[in-house]
Amino acid sequence: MSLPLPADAVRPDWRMSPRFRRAARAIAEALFYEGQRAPSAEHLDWLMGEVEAFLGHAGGRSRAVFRASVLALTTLAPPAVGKAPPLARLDPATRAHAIERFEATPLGLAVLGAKAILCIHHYDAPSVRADLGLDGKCLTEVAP
Amino acid sequence: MSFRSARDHEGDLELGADVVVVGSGASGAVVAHELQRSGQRVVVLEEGPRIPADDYSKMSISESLRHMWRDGGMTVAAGVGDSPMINVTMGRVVGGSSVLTGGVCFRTPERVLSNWQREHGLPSFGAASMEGAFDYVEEKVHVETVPESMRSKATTLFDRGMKKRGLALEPLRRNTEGCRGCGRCNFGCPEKAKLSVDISFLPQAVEAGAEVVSHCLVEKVLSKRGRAMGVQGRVLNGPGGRPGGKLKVHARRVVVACGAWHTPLLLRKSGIGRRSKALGKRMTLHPGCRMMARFDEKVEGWKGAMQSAFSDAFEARGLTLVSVFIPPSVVGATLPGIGAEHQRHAQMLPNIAMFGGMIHDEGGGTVRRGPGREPVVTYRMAPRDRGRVRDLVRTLGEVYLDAGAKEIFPPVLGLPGGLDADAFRSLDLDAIPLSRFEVTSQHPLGTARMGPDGKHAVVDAHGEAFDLEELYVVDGSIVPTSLGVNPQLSIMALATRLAWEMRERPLPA
Repeated sequence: MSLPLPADAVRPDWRMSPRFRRAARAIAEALFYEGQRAPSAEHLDWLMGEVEAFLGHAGGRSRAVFRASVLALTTLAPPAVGKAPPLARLDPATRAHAIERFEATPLGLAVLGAKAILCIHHYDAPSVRADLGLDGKCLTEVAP
Repeated sequence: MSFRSARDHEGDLELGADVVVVGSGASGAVVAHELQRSGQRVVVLEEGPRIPADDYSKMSISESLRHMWRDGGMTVAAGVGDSPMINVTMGRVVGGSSVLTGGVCFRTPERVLSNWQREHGLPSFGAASMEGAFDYVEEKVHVETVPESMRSKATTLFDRGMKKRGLALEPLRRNTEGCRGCGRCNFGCPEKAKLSVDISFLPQAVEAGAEVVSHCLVEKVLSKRGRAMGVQGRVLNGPGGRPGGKLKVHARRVVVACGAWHTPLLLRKSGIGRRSKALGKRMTLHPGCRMMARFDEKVEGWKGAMQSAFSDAFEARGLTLVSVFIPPSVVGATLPGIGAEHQRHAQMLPNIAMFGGMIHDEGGGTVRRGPGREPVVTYRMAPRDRGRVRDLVRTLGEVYLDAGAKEIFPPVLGLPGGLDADAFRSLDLDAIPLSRFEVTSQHPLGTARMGPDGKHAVVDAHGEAFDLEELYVVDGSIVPTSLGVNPQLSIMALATRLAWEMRERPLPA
């Protein structure tokens, strides 16, 4: 979905490790888990690709925020529902419940870092936008 | 001359000019334009890339964030004491934050200028003396009033609530021409209708002979015998955009325009402002909140000018209400809940309205040197301002309820979803720690303020540093107090005035 890199943009040399990707993907799966339906594997693959590209370009601070957030959720959210970490071991519904409970704790601010980055990319997916009726149209065809 | 990328330049880079301008945002671009057109040779250095409007107009939200925003939009001022963590958004691109604003243009309020004259030792900053600079900038960037027909439904609904209270919204003015109301100005205008400085001042400066060089990180102002002689730093031509070769620009005059976040860092590293108590202190941010509200009817708030109207009806309480609607994918990121609950809220997106506001803060921000290239910024909110944040949230919610909103989504982390009128009114905001409030800012100001002496200020009324001749600071860091309104136009007019004064001062031999 991404456009070709602008000529003057930085070429990133950063990649997610497989372990980190699995942890982030597990959070995304829980975040967008709907009733009995988890997001498709294709969508999650696409989402992780977009998040990786974003983090590769956006710099060390955004990577640090996302990493810290994923690490906190992976290790601290499961105990919020009496389960042992890591979060990815739990089924998506329990994962979602664990994150929700963790969000209400004093450390819940940590949820925001992962949630913000995952949501911005998820809701930009054409299929998701179409499902939600987000047509992205401007107010007028021509300027007044 | 030209726009030039240092990323593709191998090894070290050494340049010479009459004037080197550090930073290509609203103030740096204006100064470069004015000085180059007066016959001085100007080089502008920018840390970020150059993304032409033809490219950013097609970008997704994520692409805009990753290529044009500092830290991908994740920059924060850490809250100290009972203060919120504040997400401060800034550009890191040729054109700076002007590419990412909503285009809102307010002149500096007269009461603010009077205060500068009376309380801050700046008698020459009266409204009349600033008028020429404001007129000039407004003409150059085509400041126009947003017609009511361009308001989003989110704004129209808020206006309905205001009218029930006997109040009304007033139209904003913006630097636009040909806006179609696509609701995503702050990710780069998709219609190229916002006349940010990458479209207005910078190309004209380049046409006149200025050189704008991207991917240049300036680390120090060079000086000799008490006078600025140029700058040095690193070319960001290493792997992954990291520092590579050395950068050196020899110049007879140095103009710093890095913004209130980075200017104090550069000055401190250069040994400037050490005797001043003001450098890096008392940063004002205009901390703001956005309130979401669900209506039964479809809102589709993204259709319309992202910012079109405001109200100063609560000015006496230190609040300015300003319309805003951020793209749905970003709204989605702030929706409460996880899993099914989050998805239930996402289904409401077409019915969600949004309005924002900011507080006129006392200034509790401090910029310090961090472990890496970026500063560490903390913000201790004044007790008066803590009350104002809660007042703002209450006011925004009440107005939307008056407009007929069915659910209110206060910007407070961890609340269990939308609140109906009774639940919102019984919510004890005073009992919720401010660290749980979602607070944002786009207006860092005042970290190298101007004033009459070098003890309480960093630069004089002409923008020249007390500690070093021929070093000028022209960006938002010199603004001595909170403005209470969006600062883009004030910064540009201030920079214009200082550039006109610089133009008349002969360059040193």
